Amino acid sequence: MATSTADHPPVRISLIAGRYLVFDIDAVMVLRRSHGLCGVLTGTMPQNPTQNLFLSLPQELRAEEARMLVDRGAAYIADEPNDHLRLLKEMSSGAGEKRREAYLRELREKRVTAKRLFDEEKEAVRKMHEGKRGKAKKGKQTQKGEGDDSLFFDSAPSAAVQPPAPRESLPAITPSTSNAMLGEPAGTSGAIADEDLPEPSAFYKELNRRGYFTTPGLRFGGGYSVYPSDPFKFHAHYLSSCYGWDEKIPMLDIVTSGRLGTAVKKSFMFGAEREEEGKAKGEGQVRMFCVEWAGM
Amino acid sequence: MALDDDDNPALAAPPPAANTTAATPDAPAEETAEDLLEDEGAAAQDFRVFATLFKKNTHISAQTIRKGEKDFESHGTQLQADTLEQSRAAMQEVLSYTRIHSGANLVRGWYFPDWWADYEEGEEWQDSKAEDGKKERKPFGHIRDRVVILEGSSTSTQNLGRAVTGQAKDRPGRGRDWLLPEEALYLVERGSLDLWWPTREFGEIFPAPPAAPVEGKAPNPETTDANPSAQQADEEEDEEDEYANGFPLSLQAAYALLVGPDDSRGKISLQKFQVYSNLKRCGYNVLRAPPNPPNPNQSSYPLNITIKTFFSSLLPSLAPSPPKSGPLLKPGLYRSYNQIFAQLSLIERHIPSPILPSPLPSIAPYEIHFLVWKSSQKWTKLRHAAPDFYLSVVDAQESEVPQMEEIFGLLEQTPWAPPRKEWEGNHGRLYARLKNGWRNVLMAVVDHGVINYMSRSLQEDCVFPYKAMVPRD
Amino acid sequence: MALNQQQQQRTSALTKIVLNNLQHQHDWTNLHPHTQLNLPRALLYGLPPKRLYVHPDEQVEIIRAEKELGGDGRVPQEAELEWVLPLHLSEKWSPAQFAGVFDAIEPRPPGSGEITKAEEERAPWLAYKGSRRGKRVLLATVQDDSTVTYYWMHDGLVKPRQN
Repeated sequence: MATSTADHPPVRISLIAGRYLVFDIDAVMVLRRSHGLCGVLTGTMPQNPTQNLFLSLPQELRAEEARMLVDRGAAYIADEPNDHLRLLKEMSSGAGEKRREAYLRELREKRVTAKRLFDEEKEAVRKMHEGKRGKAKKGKQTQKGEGDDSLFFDSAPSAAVQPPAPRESLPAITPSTSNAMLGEPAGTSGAIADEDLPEPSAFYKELNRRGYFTTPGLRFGGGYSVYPSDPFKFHAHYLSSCYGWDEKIPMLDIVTSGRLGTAVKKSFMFGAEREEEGKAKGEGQVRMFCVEWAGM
Repeated sequence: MALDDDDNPALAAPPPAANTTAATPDAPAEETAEDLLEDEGAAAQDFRVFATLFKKNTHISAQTIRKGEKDFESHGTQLQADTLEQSRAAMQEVLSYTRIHSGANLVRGWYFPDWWADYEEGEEWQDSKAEDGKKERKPFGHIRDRVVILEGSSTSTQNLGRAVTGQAKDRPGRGRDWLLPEEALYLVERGSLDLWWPTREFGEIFPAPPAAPVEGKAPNPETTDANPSAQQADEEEDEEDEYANGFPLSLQAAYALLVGPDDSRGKISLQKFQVYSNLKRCGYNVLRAPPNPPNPNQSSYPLNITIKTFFSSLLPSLAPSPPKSGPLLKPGLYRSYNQIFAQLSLIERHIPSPILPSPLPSIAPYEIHFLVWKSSQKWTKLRHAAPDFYLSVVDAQESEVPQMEEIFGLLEQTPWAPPRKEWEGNHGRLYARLKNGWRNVLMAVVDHGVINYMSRSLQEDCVFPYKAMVPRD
Repeated sequence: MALNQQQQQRTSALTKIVLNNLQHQHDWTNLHPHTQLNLPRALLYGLPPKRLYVHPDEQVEIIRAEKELGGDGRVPQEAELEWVLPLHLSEKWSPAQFAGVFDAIEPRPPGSGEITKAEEERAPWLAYKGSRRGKRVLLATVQDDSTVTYYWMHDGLVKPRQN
């Protein structure tokens, strides 16, 4: 499994109805390993769809996370509905014939692989059962059981372990991404111009620069929950809120947030970007303050 | 492992409550502000556990099955780095899974977004189960928003989808189940639906049925589909022609086609879909609320409640108002606190009533979006009791804390649901009454994929003082 | 002018309430008001009866040191002088104003005992009272009923205590 992510091509972020989604697991890993981004996994896990603890693709990012990645050259943002509609319509007519063929070819390869793995699995299970049954029969047969088994399986229907005959039906699959359709590498078709995207706050960029991971703060009553590193391994240190440099914060908000933070063993952290002469927005120094109960 | 499909739970029937593993069926109702304070339990996704629990043929060692303890901060140790890498690798493995639909379980859906675009939905009727032979109204179908037609049927169509009745006999695709965007996307996500993009006309893929199928019966998904012609034909066709009618779509494509802004027909907002699928995963039955909820407040209620409320609403105004310069309390001799209390009550208290003379309109986004039922064997998409919950979906970033009129507008879309009789009395269950209120609504607040459920109820705002003041003799 | 005067009276009343509260309810000693031209209002500083704040990293150092001492060995924890910022609950402060307070003060209030480099090297936890002490103020928030609540505010990112 690839751990080197430095030269991964730009990650495709799908903009759908104002939300930013990532569908490619490789991209998710790159964001996690190289960019300090964990996002939120929001999809139902097909392996076990009746629980809410472990969720699957897509991964949702905040707008400012998406924009930061774009600024870094690590991602581009695609207008996914329009891009898909355009390509799908093209593929329905002669104009997109090549793309359609390429897409279906790749799909077929996946189906063949699925079939093979599927059959191997079945075979293994059957082997296991046969083995057990063999032992259950007990007695003299167990002596030559080993040889018998292999003999038996060698003479078993060979189609199962070999590539399936063309007429045998392949299982249908639903790929997670449209990569095979979009072209490889995914290409920047449908990319949205940078200036149409909201700016990331200097506050967030600073946290990311320092290696902090952030998740939506709703659960703990803040803007973000801030983790010292990957939330897989660490507890959040801060519930955070971002303000304007001269924005008046009611003391009551500071006290209640500080109280809430202390209740969950976190500190309430707030910050703002210093507005300075001659510095553009987003370039100023970020000041941060941490509030916790004094215990008196 | 990634393609292991042998005992894919996705292919099993939708779970009854007992089968839900992670969430208790009552979760949304019970979740309250305390959940804000809970630690990361719910947020912590330990995929190492997942990988071993749901993958077959894995050598399960105690070390990997144990839930990984989180650390406070990085110590820079190799051990810490290794466990993190294990978690990440496990996540990568689990999320690399590809959804497979093997022969017998194949349910295919086709994306035809405009088939019902011009449909005008009126009231639909079905035979009542009651013996008087009356017809009962079908729940609102949101037919115009139904964009995916199912080829064949599955167990899921007992709870999802809708066949549009009253169509001409030679209408193509007649009698088939159509899915709303959230239903289709949810099924694709859980690996129960193979969604296809058609490259041919609707009528070519779903030719008009040759003979009239059974008419006038309540739709039964198991039997209405006597004509899976497209499916059969498909299997007999050559490999070359497998994609003659269209081709399968990815999960990404399904999102691109089915998720859209709130006001677009045939799409659903991502926030609403996230709430919908969250509830479905918990085992709830969920339907879109009708656009104009049949005003539950205009139906008739037992007269005695009305009269009682009517008279009690007159009580406070009967008390004479005190002189402007005071005193509040007329000087004199009092033998009972009640007389004093009555004079002290200056502001007319709100008395909840089942009848709303002029219900407030709901103000977007504080509207009822979903009707939710606890999991039940008896529930079907067409026949069910009143919903257990009325749910509104709100985006955490785009909306402020609602104003009073927004809350009232929302609450007044829900039916009168007074506290139970047995909770009343001096030693009654005060907290149960307070929690229940008189009208109830659940709000799902969505912050970039993280959902918090909050319940709001209309309180009798003077429950304490007034009840306490009622004569005790 | 009158308004300014009124405001001054108000903040000095606030300072007095907090000072009294610290002295009589919380047994602080050595309490002094502290004014400075670049401070938006008077601060207080004083000595709490016991140590009020231990940085998580210092905690680790102390535990390590006590382990070395073995058995019942304890590292004595002497109280240190702390800054106090009196505020009223109805006030609204901007990040710029808080930054102004932190920029105007030293980490350690006047009269804090000197800790030499040599001492810090011998006992690493001492550095958190000396050269490694960050800027922090105790926010003393007064309510109309003269209840005072106390919260720490640190300048910069300071990880939470784990107790």
